Amino acid sequence: MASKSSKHQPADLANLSFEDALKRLNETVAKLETGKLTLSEATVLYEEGIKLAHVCTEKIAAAEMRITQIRTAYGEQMRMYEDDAAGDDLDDDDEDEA
Amino acid sequence: MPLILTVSKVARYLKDILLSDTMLQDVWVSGEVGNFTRSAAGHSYFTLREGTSAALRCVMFRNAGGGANHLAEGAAVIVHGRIAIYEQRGDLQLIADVVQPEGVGELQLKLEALKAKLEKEGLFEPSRKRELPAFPVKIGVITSPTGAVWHDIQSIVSRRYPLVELVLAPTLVQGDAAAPGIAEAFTAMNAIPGLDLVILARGGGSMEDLWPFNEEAVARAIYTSRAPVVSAVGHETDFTIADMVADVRAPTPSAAAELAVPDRRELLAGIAAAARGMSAFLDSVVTGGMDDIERARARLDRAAPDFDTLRLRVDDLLKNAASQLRHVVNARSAEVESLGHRLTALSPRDILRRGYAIVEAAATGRIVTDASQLKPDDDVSVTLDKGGFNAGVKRVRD
Repeated sequence: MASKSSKHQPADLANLSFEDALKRLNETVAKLETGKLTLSEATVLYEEGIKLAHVCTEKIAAAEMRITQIRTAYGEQMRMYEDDAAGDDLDDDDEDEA
Repeated sequence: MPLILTVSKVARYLKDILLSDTMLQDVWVSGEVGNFTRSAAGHSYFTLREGTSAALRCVMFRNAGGGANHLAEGAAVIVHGRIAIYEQRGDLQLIADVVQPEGVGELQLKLEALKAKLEKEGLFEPSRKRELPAFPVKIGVITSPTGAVWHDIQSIVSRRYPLVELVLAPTLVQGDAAAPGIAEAFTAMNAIPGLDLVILARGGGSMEDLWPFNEEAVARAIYTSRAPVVSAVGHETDFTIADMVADVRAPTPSAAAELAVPDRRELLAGIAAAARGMSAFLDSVVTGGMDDIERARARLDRAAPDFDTLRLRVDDLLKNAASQLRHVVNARSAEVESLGHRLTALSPRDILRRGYAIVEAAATGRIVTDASQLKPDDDVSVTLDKGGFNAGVKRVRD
């Protein structure tokens, strides 16, 4: 069963980005459904496809959003304000009620 | 000697004066429309009148800007444009780019004038709108760090598609400092490598609250953004110049977050469907193979010899053989019978009937065929054709 491709594929597949893995999954499905394949070719593609589906699912399930902040004049001002007032509320900034 | 000018020199001099007067190059004039005509080329010609005391010739070119539909004989309007001299006739005229009905507020008038200007420069050009990437990795957000908008965007993006990094550029989103702050934020965003899109967002508010998003600095900042921009300012009914320059306009900040990223649930459902599809397909391949095998077996059956017929033939042959055997047995039996008859004919009884006798030695029970088997006084048994007798040997002869 261990053909030369499936032997080192799992690691490769896990390293794909979500977008690439999803793209490859869709390609695999299309190849499987349109190509005239032998049973063993279809089986190899099927295995790869199922692995890709796992990779996609795991990537999106395990992801955690990252947040960074860039420096702006206003951001610096706010930091100084917060340092000075030590927790004093910014209630005059009531522009975001929606 | 007085200075003598040519007519064209006077006209050029007047033109220079007009051009150098900033007020006359960016002026709003109110009045009543008269002598209104529209040329075949689509340009509008009219006169603005103030009662009977003053009049100003006006032209509005077809591609000038907004509000030409407000032009009608006798309509009270406010016209924006610049004062110029038409050298060939020596006429002063107002070259209009915006027409608004009388009674519209000052902000609205400024807005219309800026819209006309930016439209002419191509900032709203539909052909330059960029598509948002389907699977963004890094998303810039320009908004207030303290409001509900930033919180909503974070929670929607992390719920829908947590594979991204949000980069916040905190800014004021209202007041005089907002527009330069937003422009600065876009400049900072342009320096970030790999940014897939930028969301410019603000919650709802009055027209004055939303004003920074109608300012030229913001419009130009959006226009020069390296990443596509999604604008989401106020509520669905609020339309700002920022919305018109942005690549995509979202009706609300939450909608912007939804437009920016795909939905994890839909993606997972799609992945599951793909996996099911593959399984079903492989099943069908296997089932198809089984059917092929079944068909081949049926053909093989048809091509194979007919064992039933063969079995019948064997049966027949066996029956045949049995009857043959019976014949043989019968024939043999008849033969045996006739041999029996012949044997009967050879039986000693027939000989006895002809007068011979059988002598047996009583001691041994043996038939005596030689006198030397006997000695005097031996008992013998003599069998005749009918009956017999016992006797004693008197004397033995040779």
